[in-house]
Amino acid sequence: MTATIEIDSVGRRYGSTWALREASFTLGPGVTGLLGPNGAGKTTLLRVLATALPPTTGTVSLLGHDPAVPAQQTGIRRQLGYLPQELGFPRGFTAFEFVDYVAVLKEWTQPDARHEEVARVLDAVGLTHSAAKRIRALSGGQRRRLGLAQALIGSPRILVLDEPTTGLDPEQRATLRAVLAEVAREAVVVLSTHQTEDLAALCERVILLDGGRVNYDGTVVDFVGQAAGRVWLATEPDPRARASWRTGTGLYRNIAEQAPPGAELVEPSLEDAYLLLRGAAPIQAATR
Amino acid sequence: MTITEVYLDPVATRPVARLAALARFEMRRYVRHPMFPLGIGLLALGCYYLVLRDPLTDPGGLFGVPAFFLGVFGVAIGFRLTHSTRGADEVLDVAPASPQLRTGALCLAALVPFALGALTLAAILIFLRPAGPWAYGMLGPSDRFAMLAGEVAAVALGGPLLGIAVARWVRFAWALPLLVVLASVWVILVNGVAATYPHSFAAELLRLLTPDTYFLTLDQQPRQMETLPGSPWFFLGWQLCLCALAVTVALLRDAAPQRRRPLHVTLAAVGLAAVAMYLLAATGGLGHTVVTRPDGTVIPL
Amino acid sequence: MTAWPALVLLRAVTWPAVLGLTAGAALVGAVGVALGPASTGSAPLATAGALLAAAAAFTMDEPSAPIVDITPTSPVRRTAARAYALSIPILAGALLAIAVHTRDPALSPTALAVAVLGNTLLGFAAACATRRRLAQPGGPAATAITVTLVAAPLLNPIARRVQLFPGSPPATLSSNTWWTLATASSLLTIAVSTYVRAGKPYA
Repeated sequence: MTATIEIDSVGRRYGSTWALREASFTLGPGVTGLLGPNGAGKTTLLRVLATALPPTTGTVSLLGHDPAVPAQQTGIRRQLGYLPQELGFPRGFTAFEFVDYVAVLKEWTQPDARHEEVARVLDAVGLTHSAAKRIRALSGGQRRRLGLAQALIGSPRILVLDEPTTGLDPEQRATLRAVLAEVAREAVVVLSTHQTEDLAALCERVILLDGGRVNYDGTVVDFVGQAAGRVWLATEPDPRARASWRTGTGLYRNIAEQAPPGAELVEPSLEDAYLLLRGAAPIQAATR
Repeated sequence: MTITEVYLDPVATRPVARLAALARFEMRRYVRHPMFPLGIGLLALGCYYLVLRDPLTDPGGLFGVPAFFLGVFGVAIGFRLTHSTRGADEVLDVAPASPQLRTGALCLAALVPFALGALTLAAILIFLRPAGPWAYGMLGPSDRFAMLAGEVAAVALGGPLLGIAVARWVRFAWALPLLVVLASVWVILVNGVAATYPHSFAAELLRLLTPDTYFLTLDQQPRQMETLPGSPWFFLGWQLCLCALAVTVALLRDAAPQRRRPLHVTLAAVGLAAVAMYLLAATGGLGHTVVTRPDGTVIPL
Repeated sequence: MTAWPALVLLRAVTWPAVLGLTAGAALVGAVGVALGPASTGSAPLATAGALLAAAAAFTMDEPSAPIVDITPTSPVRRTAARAYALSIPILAGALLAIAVHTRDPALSPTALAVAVLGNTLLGFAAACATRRRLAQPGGPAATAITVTLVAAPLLNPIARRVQLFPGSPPATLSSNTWWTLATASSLLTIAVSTYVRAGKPYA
């Protein structure tokens, strides 16, 4: 059965505040990126998909099962991996012991098979040589990779990752992309990130969240295409631009609904499309 | 005003102004801690039962209530407030406000429970109805005030300071229940030993080697009040020296090298003062236990 | 679940807190035994019990709760595995009870056992009840229980009515009554809170 995530009119309220409203989409195998400003509802949506949080409204179907039914929820969790935005670790554990601990909780009860699986996922994230190190001795990037390792246990069919690239250097991010690309052959991978270049390199699909609502849901190519013809370079910032900043070449990169006639148009990036679609107040760099 | 201008402004950059601003912040945090209103409520209830409902026959037994709900609760609040910022240490340690300034502000927050203790003391003095003159044993008006001030106000100040001092040096959260129990048990222990060996000077010295102690003990069979040896006034001085020691120990943690020497000197000076107060408390006041009875009989033990 | 995986789950218990507080209980209890009830009453032994409760409260701390709570292993199994850690404070309490009974053979061993068990289960129950909302309930639960149990023998209005350690026959009756009630309430709390977490989705 093909791995799928289906949500319909899902909303989540905290007190009187709606963190997520009317979110609907269907995801299949592949990598989908969640984009949006802080407070847009990305983490809330990811927690709903990870079965960590019930929706206030709407329906969720993961791998064809309803997570609101306890028995089905357990079935889903057997095939789910989750990396939260912030992850604490038990004191005194080594990297290997921590992943081993999570593996036990994921019902890997046979020690030999479990240790083999733990070694596999640690190798996948490049932590084989740090397996015996205490977690407190690991760097921030290594801890993030350790968090990813535990999510990969059992080759999950749904992988939910909240800002997995935080703290990773470019080489580590490249490794992560390779790992996720392999996983996404058969699994549904949903990740949130502020690194638009990671999203561009890794994701086939992007969902833009803003104010708890889905503002855009489509391919990355189409998303970037929204900004075609609307990004140009100039010697001065354009006051009518939605966003404008000085680049490393000394020229100003401007983004607006319409480029002025004769402007030197450039190929838009995913970040340009994001800024254009965000609808926020104009972002202007101070003029020199 | 830009941040640079703030730090160049002679008024804003005065350490006293920064300390005052931080202290106000910490006082608000103290008041908002859930244990504070809980302690006030339980203190009011306890004082109602002990002070207002019946004529007080056991002023010595009074001390358990304010000492616990202001002092012991204060230990817990001071400890948890100090620990609560540990997660942000990396950011706070490079802020212009030094760890000592932040610790000083936390210590000033102890003035909140101290003020409450002072109010409680005033209320007790106004509304207390002793069962008779014998209820205060051999303590005159001045000594009674010193005893109550020590049991109510000084403990309210010292509890949070103890919690802050320990939390500055000890990183693990489970130290708090251990601290609460050890502090309480120590008080019970030393008083118990003194009661078991009433004629022992060593036991007497031990009885006063504590942040809080009894000077009056009510016996029911026969009904009489025992006034224990020692000077309540010098014991109050000892308690205040302990408060100063706690503040100094808290400030010593992570002190910059140039500040260590003055703090060590202060620690030594306060320590000497504490020893002096302790010895004066032990050798002052009554030299031995004296029993007073409702019929006016006075019996030295 | 085989024994080995349970041991792996036990590894995640906050052992420094459990062992440290149990050692503190042993120390305070030893002082109470050494001095005997004539000097200090039952207060040191009652407060030693409070530290056993505090130790039990720390057994449920889970720093990795965001991922642990969405694994297929149910809260019932996870709680059961962590309950093995209670053997440490219970063992220490049992040794203390033996020491107390040896010093004072008139004290009922049953009453001592009830007090030890009641303290330990009370701490565990407080942690289980708050685990749903707090990933690491040990600190707040231990503080609340310790403060409450220490207050009881110290504060006259309560101390006259509530004895938390067996001594004279009236004290033993009071202790047995309170700790039997506490044990029953704790077991109910543990069962309800754990099974609620297991039975309700997203719990």
